[in-house]
Amino acid sequence: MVSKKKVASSFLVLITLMLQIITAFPFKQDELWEYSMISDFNRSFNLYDDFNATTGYKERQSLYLNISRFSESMYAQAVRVYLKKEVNEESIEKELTDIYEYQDCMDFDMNMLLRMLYLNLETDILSKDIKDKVCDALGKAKYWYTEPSYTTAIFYTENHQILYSTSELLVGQLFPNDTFTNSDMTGQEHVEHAIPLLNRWLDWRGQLGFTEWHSNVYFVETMSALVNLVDFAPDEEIAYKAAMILDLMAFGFASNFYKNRYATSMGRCYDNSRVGISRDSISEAAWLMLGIGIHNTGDSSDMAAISLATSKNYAPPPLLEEIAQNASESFEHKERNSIYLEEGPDYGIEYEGEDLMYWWSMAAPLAPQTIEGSIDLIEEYDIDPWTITGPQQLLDFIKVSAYLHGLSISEYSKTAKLLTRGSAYETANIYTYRTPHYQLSGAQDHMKGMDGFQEHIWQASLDDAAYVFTNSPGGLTKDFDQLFMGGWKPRATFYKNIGVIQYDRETMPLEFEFALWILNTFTENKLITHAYFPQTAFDEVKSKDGWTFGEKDGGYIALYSYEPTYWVSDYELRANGIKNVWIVELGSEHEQKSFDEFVSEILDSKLKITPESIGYEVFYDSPSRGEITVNWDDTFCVDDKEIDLGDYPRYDNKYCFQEFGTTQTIIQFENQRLELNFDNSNRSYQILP
Amino acid sequence: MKRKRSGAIKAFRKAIGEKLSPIRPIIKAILMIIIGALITRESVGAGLLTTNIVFGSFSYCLLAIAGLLTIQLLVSGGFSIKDVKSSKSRVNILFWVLYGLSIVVMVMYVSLYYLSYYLIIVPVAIGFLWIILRLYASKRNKTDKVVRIIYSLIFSLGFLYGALLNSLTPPIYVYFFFVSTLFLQLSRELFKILEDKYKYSFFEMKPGDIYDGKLLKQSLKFQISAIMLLFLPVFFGVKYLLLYLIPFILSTVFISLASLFTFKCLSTKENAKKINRTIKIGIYFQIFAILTAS
Repeated sequence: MVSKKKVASSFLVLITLMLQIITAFPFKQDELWEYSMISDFNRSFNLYDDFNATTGYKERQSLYLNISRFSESMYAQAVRVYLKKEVNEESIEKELTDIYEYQDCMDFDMNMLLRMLYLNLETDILSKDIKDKVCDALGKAKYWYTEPSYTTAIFYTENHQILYSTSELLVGQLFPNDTFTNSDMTGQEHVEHAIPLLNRWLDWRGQLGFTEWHSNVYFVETMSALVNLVDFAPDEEIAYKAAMILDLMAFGFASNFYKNRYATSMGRCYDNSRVGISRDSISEAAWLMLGIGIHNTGDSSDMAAISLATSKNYAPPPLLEEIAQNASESFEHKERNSIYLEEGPDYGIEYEGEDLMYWWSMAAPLAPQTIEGSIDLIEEYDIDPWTITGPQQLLDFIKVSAYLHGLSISEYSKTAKLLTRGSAYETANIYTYRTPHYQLSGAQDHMKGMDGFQEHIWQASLDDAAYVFTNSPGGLTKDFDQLFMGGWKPRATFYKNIGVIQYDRETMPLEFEFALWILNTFTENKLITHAYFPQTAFDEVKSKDGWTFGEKDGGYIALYSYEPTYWVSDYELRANGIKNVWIVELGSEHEQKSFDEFVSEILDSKLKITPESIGYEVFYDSPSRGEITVNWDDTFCVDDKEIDLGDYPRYDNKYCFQEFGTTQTIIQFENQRLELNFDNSNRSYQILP
Repeated sequence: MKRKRSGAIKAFRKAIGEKLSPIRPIIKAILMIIIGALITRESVGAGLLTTNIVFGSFSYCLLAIAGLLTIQLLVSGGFSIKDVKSSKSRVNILFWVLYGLSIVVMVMYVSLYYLSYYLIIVPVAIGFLWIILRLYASKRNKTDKVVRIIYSLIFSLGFLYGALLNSLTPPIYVYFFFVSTLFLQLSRELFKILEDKYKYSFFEMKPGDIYDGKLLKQSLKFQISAIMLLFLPVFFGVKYLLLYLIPFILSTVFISLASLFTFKCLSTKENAKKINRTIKIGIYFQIFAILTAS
């Protein structure tokens, strides 16, 4: 006899399962979307008018195509379509579920699928069956947050915005007369919706640089969308601007890559791409574009590299490749990316409505200037706050707490600015100093004491594995599991081969301090600062008097910690406490005679560090640069000369000088000149007499 | 079954309570240090705040134990007549060692972290206060009262100590809060005299006793003064008024109730423990008020 209880509980389980199945596939319909795709695609302009791709670039494209065509991944099927080879349709079909379910990152897939469909217009290799299935998914997809249907997909980061808008433009152009199921808009309407968004995104980057600056992860996705625009955008202006942004990214690689590594500060980065044996995701694209770094045959399904390799319209201007080679041994470079929140009105960016897309791409939805507009927009479009600000409870808490404090929401956000503003990727003044034996690169004095989400502030590199950086884990880092990226941002100051990196922070309202305490208790966050110093990557490592020294192929590094350090693992050098100062100095067999001499010179140098109520007063008589003085707030001086910590021009190096906020970049190398003008979408490459 | 379990829990709690009772004043004092440091946290960075709490707690812990030893010296409890002299001298030595150590800790802390040397004055002054109170008690034969004063000071001085570590010139409401806490604690201690007198089992005081009446009047004065002092921060720059006022009102309600009960004690029988607990809740809300308002 089955008891009533058991029957009832089985019934409940059954109902729950059914509900889960229904909610998991809310949009998949049995009937395929009816469509009438354009049969061919022609444009009246050609981006190769001004110059031809270098032989090296063409060879690398061909090399990449040759390895990628053997990959069974979905992305690599674009290569097979391009080469008119048999396509693995099963791998394509598998990825469609993400689009049907409106899952996060569906835009990555949509961009690659659209690339395939456009390439297929020429090669016609895809079967009708898979084409129908792909078009069905695209016809039912969601292309912008303003469209109906609930989703947990993130539309707002810098890379997602360009990916979604590019998808919308390309899909609309492909099916101009069909009505899309979710939006109830025709393809033409989607095109009209996407064009201003794309122009705005491209103009912002052209004028203000990137918010996810030098991201070794997200530049891959961004580049893939940009190449799609270069190849398939109907609008000449958009195609040229996209090509120019790609050029600027390539210029960034040339300026910051060192011995196969994107060895600089990054707006967004992950532990797994910086700690241990890893490779920058962007490496393959950088190699393809400029021939820098090493081509890895295992990287055969890289979105950006596939897009570049299958592009007939984009090639980097030849001088960029030459600059990358020319600068590889010795280089001093300054650049500025992104703006301060206060600067919005100066650049015509408001703190509400659609302009919030700029601030959200900067991860600043809760900042004092933007929080009220963000809440309004979230409520207006019923957006899941998780995808922007965190849980709804956090917003509710902020509202109630602001009321109890007798403050407006914006004023309350200001009291916790270390968190609410800290997550924002505001102005990053990046300084890079390169010699044949080492490179030191970092974001100068970037948002000191604030809590970062995924930032990588600085890095000293001797080669692609022997590099060192520091971090103070904690706060609201990405997924709360990044121990080396994000965390509490230091006051990092650099001059040539020397860096002084101070960690400390102000205090916050007690409720936030309490929340952080709870968070630290339940996550791996510890009250520490630590250095990534992979001992096995160096030829020799030794420690003395608070200094840790490393040598690799004639390049030397010395890292000092004010607080006592201890090795936690082969690669992690840890110091207890959230307040600490680290000093880094680099040298080489060219500058000093031997490693031992470098070590003894550093140990003999005078170093005085005085803790202050916040930060430190640092005096360091560097053997290579003279007297260095710096504290938490004041100037950074070397031999009594004040060092420029920013704000920097957009670019300042021997190939390019451009004031920040202007729209024209001129890059010159020997008799070659590249002009990128975002005002008139002019991309001109000239060989000067 | 349930009854058995709750009985066991009660016994366990009682056992823990008994074990902790000697160090309870120290735990409370450390909590007050943390609160004091948190209230003035904006004067320093998070790094210094953390070290202030760690070193401050350690140094004050030594001072609090020195204070408890002063009480031991005053009451001479626990010593048999035979060895009272040698025990006293041993406790006396221990007092000086702890007092000296707390100063040494502070000197080391100040030197290591390049802080203001004026900070050393704080433990010196507190130890000096214990000595003065000891002399006063023995000269004026007011041991009972001085013991209660020291108990109260151990608790409330922790708050001031924590606040002073961050800033030698803390906001004026910090002092109001300190004095108010001291008064409330004193008021509680006076009730404890009555509790001791009636051996806990009665918890009821007989009206009309002149000595009891004096204590009760004194206690009442402390309570009323505390309420007035708590109200003053409203006019002296408390940061978030609403967040201060809500727990402040609750605190005032409880302390007023305690005052009412105390007043009733003068003419009718009242439960001393009840009054004591009401004041305690008042103090909790007071702490909450000062924390949230900062």
